[in-house]
Amino acid sequence: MMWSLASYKLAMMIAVLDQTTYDASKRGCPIPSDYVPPNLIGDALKPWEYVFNEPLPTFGGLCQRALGTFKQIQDPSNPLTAHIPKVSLLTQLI
Amino acid sequence: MVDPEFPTPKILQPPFKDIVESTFSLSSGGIGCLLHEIQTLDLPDANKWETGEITSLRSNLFANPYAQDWVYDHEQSNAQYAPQHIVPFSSQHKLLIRGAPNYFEEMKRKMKDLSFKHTTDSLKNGDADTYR
Repeated sequence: MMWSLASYKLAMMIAVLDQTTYDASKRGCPIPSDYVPPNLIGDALKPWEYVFNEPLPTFGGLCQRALGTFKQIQDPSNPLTAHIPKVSLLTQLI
Repeated sequence: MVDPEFPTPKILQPPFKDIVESTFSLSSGGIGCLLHEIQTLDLPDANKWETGEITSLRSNLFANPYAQDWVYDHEQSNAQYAPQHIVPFSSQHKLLIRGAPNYFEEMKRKMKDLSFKHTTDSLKNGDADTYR
């Protein structure tokens, strides 16, 4: 059941990202795939590296991992999340 | 001089800037935090400082005014944050997010029932010392 909850919450996050990146793309200010929030560069980056033991991913990298992880843990019995693998999240970035 | 046929992309502006940055949030359930918890779900000795992200709907990403206006159809009342372009899967996305509180409550109730059943079964089998 934890996997089911996890896939549900991840699907919700991907849904918000899908809307945001689509809107941004259509407005003429697509989000760069290599975007990293300025407030996480420099000293603010250290907590991420300390906690996750890895470099801070870019926006595109995070989206890719989110989609990849979702496909691995997807709850096939949940019709509300069935459309998530079809979103064109990555192609809406530049 | 800007070539009109190849306009320079605009820079990120609020609310996009805010919502994009909130996905990286470490302290309030950003995608990175959730992915990390998923990766360590089966590890007993994992760093569990972020425990609870999976079972909670708390997240800056969902609380963002842009997301709230989109999911709950506030397009007319708050033009500053409402989306200008609606993604093709919008209706399915909204069903997913609007149904989250009911789904989470139902799943957590099932988990509590299972936990209670496990405890009572153990007591019936003479494992009472475990719970003293």
